[in-house]
Formats: sequence, structure tokens, C-alpha cells
Amino acid sequence: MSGEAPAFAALQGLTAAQREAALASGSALVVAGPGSGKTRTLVARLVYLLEAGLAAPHELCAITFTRKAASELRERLQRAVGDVAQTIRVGTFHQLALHLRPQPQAVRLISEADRHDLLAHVLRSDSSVGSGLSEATLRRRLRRASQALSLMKGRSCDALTALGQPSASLPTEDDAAWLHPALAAYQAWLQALDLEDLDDLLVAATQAVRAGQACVHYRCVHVDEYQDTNGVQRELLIALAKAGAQIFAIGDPDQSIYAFRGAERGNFFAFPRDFAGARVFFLRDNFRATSTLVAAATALLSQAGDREAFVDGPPPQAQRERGEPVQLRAAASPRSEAIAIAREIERLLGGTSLTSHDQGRAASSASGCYGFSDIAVLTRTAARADDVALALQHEGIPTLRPRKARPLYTAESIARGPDERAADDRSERPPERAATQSPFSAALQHHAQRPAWRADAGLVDLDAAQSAERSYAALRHALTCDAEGEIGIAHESDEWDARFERVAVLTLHGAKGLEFPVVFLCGSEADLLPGRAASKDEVAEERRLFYVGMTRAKDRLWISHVGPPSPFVAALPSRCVQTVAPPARRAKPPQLKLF
Amino acid sequence: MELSCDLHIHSRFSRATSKDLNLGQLYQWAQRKGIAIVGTGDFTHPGWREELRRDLVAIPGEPGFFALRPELREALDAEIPRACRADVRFVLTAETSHIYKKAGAVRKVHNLVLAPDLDVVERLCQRLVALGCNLNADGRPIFGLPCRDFFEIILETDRRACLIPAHIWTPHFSLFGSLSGFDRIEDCFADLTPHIFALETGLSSDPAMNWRLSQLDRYTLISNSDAHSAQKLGRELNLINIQPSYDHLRAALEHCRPDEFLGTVEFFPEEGKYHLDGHRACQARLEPAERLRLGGKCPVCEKDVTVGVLSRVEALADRSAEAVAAGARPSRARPFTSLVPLPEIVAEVLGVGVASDRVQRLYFKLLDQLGSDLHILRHVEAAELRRAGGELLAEAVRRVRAGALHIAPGYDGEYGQIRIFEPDERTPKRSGRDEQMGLFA
Ligand SMILES: [Zn+2]
Ligand SMILES: [Zn+2]
Repeated sequence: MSGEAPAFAALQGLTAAQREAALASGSALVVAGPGSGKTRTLVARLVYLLEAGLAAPHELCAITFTRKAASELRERLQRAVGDVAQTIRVGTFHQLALHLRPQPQAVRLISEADRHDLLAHVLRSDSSVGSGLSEATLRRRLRRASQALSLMKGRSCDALTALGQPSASLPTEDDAAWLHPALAAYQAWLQALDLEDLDDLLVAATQAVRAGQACVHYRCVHVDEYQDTNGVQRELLIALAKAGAQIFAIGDPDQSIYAFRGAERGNFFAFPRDFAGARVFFLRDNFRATSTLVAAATALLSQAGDREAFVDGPPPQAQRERGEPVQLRAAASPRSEAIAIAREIERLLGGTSLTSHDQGRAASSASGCYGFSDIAVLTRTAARADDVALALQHEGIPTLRPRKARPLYTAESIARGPDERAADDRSERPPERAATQSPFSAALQHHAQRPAWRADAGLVDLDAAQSAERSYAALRHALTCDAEGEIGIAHESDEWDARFERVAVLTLHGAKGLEFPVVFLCGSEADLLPGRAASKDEVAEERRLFYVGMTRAKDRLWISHVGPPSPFVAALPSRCVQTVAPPARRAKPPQLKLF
Repeated sequence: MELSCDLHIHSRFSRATSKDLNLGQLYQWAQRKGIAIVGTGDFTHPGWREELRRDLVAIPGEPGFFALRPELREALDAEIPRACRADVRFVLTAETSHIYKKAGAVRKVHNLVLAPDLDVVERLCQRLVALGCNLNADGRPIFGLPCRDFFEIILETDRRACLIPAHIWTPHFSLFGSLSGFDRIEDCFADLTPHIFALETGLSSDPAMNWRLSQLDRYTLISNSDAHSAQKLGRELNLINIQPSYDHLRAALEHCRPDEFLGTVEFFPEEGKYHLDGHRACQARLEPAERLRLGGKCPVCEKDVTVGVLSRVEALADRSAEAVAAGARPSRARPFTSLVPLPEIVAEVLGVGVASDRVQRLYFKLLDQLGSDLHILRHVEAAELRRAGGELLAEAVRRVRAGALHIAPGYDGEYGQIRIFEPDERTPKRSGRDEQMGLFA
């Protein structure tokens, strides 16, 4: 097939490896390292399929991890093929799931706020807790229940049935006594109200495809970031393959960082078994980072040794010049760390004020080649990101600390310790709902009957109680349904306004899929990376997280820590690292005189 | 009525400003300097805005102009020489710093903003905050927002507000800056360029230098002090003749009618910090031709030199300096007077540093006897100067007015050095000349 390849405009400018992957026939797994031209290859593949007449636009589908990635892909396709691009289905798993359903318009999704209220209602009305829960306990349980629910529903399409069997194992070990009935009650309410949550959306879509009821048939399905798919997503893809689709998955097992949210890195390794005849391709050239940065990041991973042999392929090949070494810097406190970062940002910009010139923070003739939006500060935790963003703001540096009202169950808090949960309560709690009760939660409280959970029922049989139906209908009326647009899980990177240049302050998780000329890995101390992670798997995931952070950088990487550095730092070869001594105290600028 | 007007100043909420820079100081120094209309500066800063609301009152019949509260004025007036006392009007102004990438390069541009009232200021600031701008850290806030988009926000907030690109030639932070700016105003403000009507020339350039660019012909060239301490107020300023009100001020700047915008008072551009090219750390000061000959490198350390204002004007000019000297100038050209700050003249006369007590004593004595700084520099006659400050002072002022002085031009952040007298001219002769001795007593 590759013999006729040069005829296709889609393939122009690709490397041999990229071209080979783009031309794959049948299902394919592309192991794509950081900066290897993943999106470019994906776009080329889609355009090639169109040009070669192998698929019509409406038979193509591309699934991305974030809405931002989806809109970028859409833009690139638009540039490549024009308006035809609008017929290609590009979106997140949730968006795809909705379109696969026989009657997408009829799908009734519970809003995030109402989901929160419903869970709270269920937990409050737990009769085994005599006098009721304290607010603090309730909040804790809410968080746990919300996460457990998503994890469970994301594990497999059959996970829900476990709720009907008291002995079934739930995704969390402790507190099962209250958790199990709470989840069952929540699910019963959803059924009674004829509603779904986001997790159900995927399960239902998979079931529809399996049953041959899907209203769309895709010939070629492309999945980005395959290493971060969960069990249900994998099942959905297998179902689509059985229905005749070729699956083209692209990703990097070294960048799998969402295990706490149910991502199963094993999906990546299982691909050749799941999709018969699948071929594996490797994109190993790194066009993004300087060779020093590539060498440093590669060395970090050589410790891991937890990849299956078949994905190992050739070693990463840096395609850029040597560049600057990684700057490693200890700081006395988070505040002085932030100030040091602020000063370095000033230098990188060639000075942000005349003061920076007067005090030697910028070469007099330097115009600087970086702007604010070329720079990102990445942290392990949201709380640290908030702190550093605040400190940078205080230094007058425009910062972007994305804060979408995120669904509770996407929070990273499961990976965190108790003190950080406290920080969470400050910064990530959804808007206080108790104060201004939604019509839905008000209606809930006046509803006498509790629905019963029936695991075997596709639809709850409401015949038994006509009055109940009427009152459920009234309750449904109080709900707001979020049908399209905002479907999916909000991601930090979704919130981006290119008009305003700002230094992005993100968590490592939030930086996934992004790249910046300059990256500051802030708070790289042992306490946070790997932190409390105990098991081998957890440490490995933290290492990958650090790897994701390092590989966001194109030109310059600065790693700082307060207290003992992360053991991952020690893994970096000394020839790639330069330890920066804290600057000597500068004499105060001269006092302003009268004249 | 001729009103002197300094629109670009800063408060103590800006970085690198004097800590006592409050409204009272501005009120006092405006009188000493002879300024009738002074910008508040820094209206984007919430702390300063609070003081503006607290300490200023609207002047009846002069919409958009504010006075210090009468009860605050009393104590302050006592410290002002009678000869200097005058009304001081405040007008709402701010400076913003924009750092952003455009067409592949980092741009750093400062803009001056004028607002007609506090309500507009409040609405503008609210919008900026809502868009994620941080107004708290610095009285001159830094935005990663392109000038054009910022200007759009201003125009959407109130069409009477105006934006004036600040010190347009400063290398590091300006519209035409050699290290920060653009070659054409359109490249910066795009479709909104027609709404720009005035430009601030900055200390290191004077109107004559700007007349060399025909692309600037349709703009009013204004001058302000950009003072970071009250004592530097009015070192450059505008002379206008209007009914006092914001709208009339704006109209004078916009239309530049010869009977309304009378002209400017300027630094000698050579005294500005960035007039020539060079490298300050190596004390290498270069004329534009010399820099070209050296390929833009410092003759000492071979690093790139900072390209100053004169070179930058040369690079963008489409009229020769000779043509301008021979009288070629745009219709908006207005007369300007180049002066040296009075304390510097006094220091030169006394042969001591400008910050010394003796300079301050004589300076205040002159204000007491002759009136405001600006009045002394522009109008006081030689005989009166001689009576109050001695022969040497009268001669120094005469030479400044005539432009008969030596200046080692400024470069790369170093102010130019003014020399009015040769060393032997200033030494008091042993044989008599008693009238001079009073000066050194
Ligand atoms: Zn400025
Ligand atoms: Zn030098």
C-alpha cells in the first residue's frame, strides 16, 4: 500500500514512521511518545482515508480526551479538508456516546448540581444513621460516594448489576456498609426519574451498539490518549469493532496518569488481544523538546521497567538541538519558590518593568523571546497551584489558573491526603447548594416514596403506582437537562482564551496534552511526588505524572522544590541538570532622593 | 486661560515610586511646579481609587476635573509659598503595561488612559477584573492583553475615555521601542488606529524629532513627566487653553487647534535616558552612525547595545533632520520650549549635587520670591533672577532658554549630563564681584 502513498496530499511532510502509521489498514495501535507528531499523524490519517475514498466523512470518528483537544482537531481538519470536516464526528467519549444512542434527543442527563443534590439526599435519608449526619461527615461521604459511583460505572458495563447483589465487591474497601445501599438508592432514583448520569451514558451507548441499535455506523474510529481509557470505554470500542469499525488508537503508556479516575493502562497492552489483527506502530522522534530534555525524561523512565515488551520499540530520538540543561533549584519556602519563579519569568521576558533592567533582572539589550503564554507552572496538587498562582499575581505577573466548575467526581482528590482535602474544601467545592436550594432538591425532600432499585430492569416498571409516576413526573420537571454542548468532563485545559496572554498555572494532570516553551515544575518535593503513594503501582503512576510534566517543556525546564527533592529528580542524569544556587541577597535599590 | 497640564504620573501604589507619593504631595508639588491640571495616575489600582474617592471632590462647573477636599487643603497650603499658590485640578489617568506576542515577537507597550469620571473608571476596572486582569499588584498593571484589544474594551466602556500610547520611543516599553515595539501604529492598533489621536513623545525625544515621520503627522504630540516622585512633576508638560473640563481637555488633545493646544515644555532630548545608543555597564555611549559602524555591538564587551531613541527615529523617519530644521513640519506641529529642571540649574550654579541641602535651600528661596518653578524657567526676567539668585543663576537660566549648553547625551538607561558652565566660569573670582558672594554665603 505504501507504494502508492506519495499521491496523497494528506501524507506530505510526514516522517516515514508517521506515514506508515497513517496508512495502517485494519485496527492499529500507535505508540506515540511526547512531541512525536501524534495529532499531525491523526489528522493525516483521517484526511488520507477521505482522499483515498476508504471512508465517507460521516463514517469517520475521532475521540479525544478533552473538549479542547477536540476543537483543535476539528480546526486542523477544517484547514485540511474544508467544510467536509464538519461531517466528521470529533469529540469526547461522552459526546460520541450520545450520538450513538438510538434517540439522542430523548436522553435525559442529570446535571452535575442535581447529581450532587441527589447523592446528598440519599446519604441524608440513610435510616441507619439515627440522628443524621454531621455536615463534615456528609461532605466526606458525598465525595467518596461520587467517586465510587464513577469508578464502578466506568469499570465495566456489568458493574451496575453488582449493586443488586449484596455480596458483590464494590470499588472501595471500607465504609461499604453505608456506601453500598447509598449507591443503590441513588441508582433507583435515577431510574425512577428516567434520568442518566454521564457514566450511564457510556454504558447505555455500549449496550446499544452491542444490541445493534446504534443509529450511526462508523467505519473508522480513532482514539487519542488510549492509555487513559477506562473499562467501559474499552468495551465500547470492542463493541464498535465487532460492529465493523476499524479502531485506530494512539497514545503513550508512559503518560497514563488517570488510574485514580478509573483509567486502565492495561487497556493499552491488551489492544492486540482486543482487536484481532491489530498492528503496532511507533512514533519515536521527539520534535518538541531539546535533546537535553529528551535525554533527561528518558532517563527518568528507564527506572520504571513496567512496560510490556511489545510497546518498547526503538528508543526516543531527539530531533532538536541540545539546548539548556534542566535547572534544579531548592527554595526555603513555597513563597520564596514562587518569587524565584517570578524573577525567572521576568528574565525570560527580557524584563517586565524598568526596575527589572535597573536591578539586573534583564540584560539591557534583551528583548526576550518569550511571552507570558509561552510559560507554564505545573504542580502536583491543585492547592499548591492555587498558592503559586496567587504569589505570581502578587508579583504582578498575569496568570491563568483555570477553574471550571468541575464535576465533583473528576476531582483528583482520591489521590490526595487529608490535609489536601482540607485545601480542596477551600478551593474546589462546588458552589454551595445548601444555601440556595434548587427546585429539584426541594422537591426531593417532599417526596414520600423511595424508588426501588431493580438491577435487571432496563426501564423501571412504573405501572404499579400511577400516583408515583405523576409525582416523579413533577420532580423531573424541576430538573434542568444539559443535552449537548457541555457534555463530558471538564478539564483544566478546556478553559483557554488565547487573546489574553498569561502564565498558565496547572496541575500536572491538567497539563496533559499541552506543550509550552518554558515549564516550571514547582513543588517537586518527595512529600508530594510520590507523596503518600505506597504501592509499586502508585509510585509508577506518580513517576509517569512527573514524566508528563517534564515532557510538556519544549526549550527550558526548571524544577524547584521546598525541602527534600522528589526521588524522581535523582534519576535525572547529572549531565542534563544544572543546580542553581539561590542568588545572593541584592542590595536594596537606592533610596529616592528629593531631586 | 493658559493651563499647564501633566497627565502621566504615578502614585505610591506603582512599583519603584516614592513611598510618600499621595494626593497631598501631588497637590503641593503641582503648585510649586506651576501645574494647573495634573493626572491622578494609577486609577486602575483599588487602593489608590479608594483614596481618590475619599480625598477628591468634583469641581462644580468643571465636569471631569477634581479638587482636593477643602479641609485637606488648609494645612497643605500653609507650606506653599504665596507666590506659587494656585488651583490644582486632578483628572483621572492611568498607565497600563502590555506584554504580549504579536507576529512572532514579544511586544511591550505602555499606554496612558484618560477617563471622564469615576463611574467610567469603576466600570472599566470591573471589566478588566472579570477578564482575569490583576489590578492589585502594581499601580501600573501588567496585562498579557494586546493593546488593540485593551483599547476596544476602553471604547466599549465609554467613548469619551481615551488611550494615548505612552513615551512612544522608549526602547524597552513602547509603541516604537527598538526592543519592544512596532514600526507602524497600525501594526499595534489595527482597525482601531483611527481612534488614536495623540502620542506621548517621552523624555528622550522632542516634537522636532517626531516631525521627521510623516506617519505621525495626524497625531497631537503631547508631553508629560511620567513622574515617580512628586518632585519630578511637570518636567515635561502641555500648555493648553480651554474652558476647564474633561471634555474640553480631550477635545484640545484630539483636534490640536492652535488656539487650544498651545504647545509643550520639553526636556532637551539629549538629557533623556535613552537618547543615544550604547551599553551602560561598559560606559559605551554611541552615536547612531558609530553604532552602525560597529555592527550594533558594544566596543568593550561586544554584546548587543541598546538602540536608543535617536537611532530609532532615524530608522523610521521619512524626512531628513535638515528638512525639519529648514521648516518642514506637519500642520499639527506646535511650538515647544526645551528646558532643564530648575533644581539641576541650581545645582550647576552652586557646583554641588542636585540632592544637597544647599540646592534645596536656594530652590525654595527662589519659589518664595519669584513664584512657581515653571514660571521661573519660562518668564522671570534676568534682573529679578539676579536679585533673588545672583548673576550666575540669571546667566544659567539665560543659557538654558537659549539652548546654549553642553549635554553628554543619555544612553541605555543613563540620564544625559547637563553642563551649563565650563569649570572656570563658575569659580568665583577672588577680585571683587561682591554680588556673587551672596550666593555662596
Ligand atoms: Zn511607562
Ligand atoms: Zn558592553
